[in-house]
Amino acid sequence: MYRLVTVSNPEGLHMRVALLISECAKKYNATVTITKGSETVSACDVLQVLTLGAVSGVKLRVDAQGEQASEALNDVCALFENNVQSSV
Amino acid sequence: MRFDEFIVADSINPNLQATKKEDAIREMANSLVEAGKLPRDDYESLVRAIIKREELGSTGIGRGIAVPHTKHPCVQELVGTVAVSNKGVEFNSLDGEPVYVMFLLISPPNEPARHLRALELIARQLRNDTFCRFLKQARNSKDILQLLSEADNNQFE
Repeated sequence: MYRLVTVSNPEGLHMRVALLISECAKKYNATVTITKGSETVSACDVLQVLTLGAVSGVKLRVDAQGEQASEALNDVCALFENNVQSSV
Repeated sequence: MRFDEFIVADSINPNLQATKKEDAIREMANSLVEAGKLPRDDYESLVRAIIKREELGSTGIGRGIAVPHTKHPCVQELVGTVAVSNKGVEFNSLDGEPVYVMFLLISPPNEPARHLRALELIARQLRNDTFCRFLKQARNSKDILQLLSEADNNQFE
């Protein structure tokens, strides 16, 4: 299953958001990936998430597979939808 | 983006002396001051801003790497430096391990896109085990500059 999300944070997918995403994705018995254009990365790996360099407004696809795919997808996508206040 | 667009060559530190997070941040910020890229008068304010950012969550992202950073009005453009520690720095990293390679980034307040591009570049290169290992093993500034240059020329892909 997958969901399309838009990076709404004005600072883009900065390090704290990337860390929250990877920590969140790791909690579930699911394989979660994020795709930007032709590049797909593991949501569990903060370095991989940062390589997306996703600025504000970029559209991403979040995929989840596995026993807890639905829960993982909901929680990871919520991090894109709720602005994580940043100091980058 | 390329490393040579924001890493200040004269500030590269191949032998970081500090072993604690704040001391390491101070040492790196001072190297940017010494290189003439940060105003000395803003040093304390800048260090405080970087530490405040660390308090929100460590930028020690595992694999012996940390990317402390902040936004600060004392810079007109993104500046950065890199330091290598032989001893390791206690950084409250995600994996609990010491840090051996640190990239420090200072961005102007209104340039989030360039900050993200720099993070993307650093993350992309550090995912490469060879680049990461060579960087940790580098013992002089020339070797570090050479590695960054090779990364800029896609020699680690």
